[in-house]
Amino acid sequence: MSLKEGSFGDLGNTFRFIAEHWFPMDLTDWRAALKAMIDTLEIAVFSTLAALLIAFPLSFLAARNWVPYRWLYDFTRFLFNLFRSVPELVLALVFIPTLGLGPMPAVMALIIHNIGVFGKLISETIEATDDGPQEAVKAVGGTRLLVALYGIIPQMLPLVLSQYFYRLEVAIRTTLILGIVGAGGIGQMLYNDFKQFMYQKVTFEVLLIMALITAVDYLGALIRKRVM
Amino acid sequence: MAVLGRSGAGKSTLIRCINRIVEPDEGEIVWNDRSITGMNPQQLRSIRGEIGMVFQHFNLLPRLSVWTNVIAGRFARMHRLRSLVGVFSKEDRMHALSALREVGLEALARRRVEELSGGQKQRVAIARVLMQQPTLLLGDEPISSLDAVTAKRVMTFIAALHRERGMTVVLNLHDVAMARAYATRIIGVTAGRITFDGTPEQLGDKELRIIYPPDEEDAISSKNIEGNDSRVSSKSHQVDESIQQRGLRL
Repeated sequence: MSLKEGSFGDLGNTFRFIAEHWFPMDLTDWRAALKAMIDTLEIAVFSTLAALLIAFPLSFLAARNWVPYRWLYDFTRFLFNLFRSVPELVLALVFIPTLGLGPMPAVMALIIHNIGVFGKLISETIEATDDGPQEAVKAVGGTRLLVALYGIIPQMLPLVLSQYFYRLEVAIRTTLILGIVGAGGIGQMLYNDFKQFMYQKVTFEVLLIMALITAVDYLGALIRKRVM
Repeated sequence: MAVLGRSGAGKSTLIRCINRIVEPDEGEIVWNDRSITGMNPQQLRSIRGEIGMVFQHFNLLPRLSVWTNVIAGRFARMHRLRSLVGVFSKEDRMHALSALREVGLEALARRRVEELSGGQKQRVAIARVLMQQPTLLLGDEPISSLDAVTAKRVMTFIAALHRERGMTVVLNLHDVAMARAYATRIIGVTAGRITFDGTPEQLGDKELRIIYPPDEEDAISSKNIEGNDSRVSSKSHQVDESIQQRGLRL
């Protein structure tokens, strides 16, 4: 498909649309918007934390340099691939008949998808760790579990934290999308206001989302700095 | 005992086979009348607890304190739950402090190992070995990453462990002078085979040429420079069959 000359010729329309309809910002529902933003944050934080807690130990089974049996490695990797391959939106839609509208289908979708993502990222981080400390734990008679605990985890902790905060950021954005299928939070509020042409409210909601993403980024950097 | 040989000759493999960090393909390794090669995983973990090991790059546990690194030497002997949750007994803690005192690092016990110098890191590794109270100490090029003064200090300390505690010490070394100065027995490894086994006095130039044969590149450059064939005869590559047959005894 070739890019037609003048494809961006109508860019002025977008500019006019924002300039004429999105301002001044409407703050009448700021309390509800703030609460919705907190709901979004809660969904994202809870889902990613739960996914991390499940994926973290499982990742060792998907790391070639730690897993005791090849079949276990293949099985765990397959499971991670399966979880990761289904988009969150599809998973949320699948869970709606069982869990109803609201945040729960979104939470389940985010947990399942992120187990797959964390599983892949963490297992590959484990495989990339330095052999030296692991050898040292083995050499003093340490078990496989101790090798993980003292020889691998300390090495990978800053990277896992970094991966967590990145995935939290992604989860916040995904939660916004899942608002369309009734997951609640600021995503749903934004969608509803957009459909009702209340663009001045949308402006405030978009600003809140930007503030939230920036705050998560700063928080992540702060925690990583402390842990390093 | 010092093990000499070129890089890639098999020195590290030999040392690592003794505590089965590397699984030997064939043969038997016996320590104190116990066959290490015939041990099950649990027995292996237990014997590893009795064999100390120091490494070229120290292999300390990163991001953990000096103290935790030292107490790790006790893993094979402590209750499994204690090591998992990191709650150590008073006895283990006292042992760790005493090991740190012995290597002169008691004051740095709470520091993270990343904050230490190379020499201090190797002393932490030695303190970890002291925690094990081993009868055998293995060293995979323990002084290769250290400057000359620190290397000498570490070697003197290891020699004292052998002298005062009767600890058998087997070290891979790159430095022939160090091996001659500190070892009572030297093993030469060439291309995976033992080509010399004797005292430092028996290690002459001829033996060194066997242990350190020039590779093709050296031979070519030697030819170009001197206009002669390499001075090392092909006979010097031949392995002393009697050494191979009787095996290596520590």
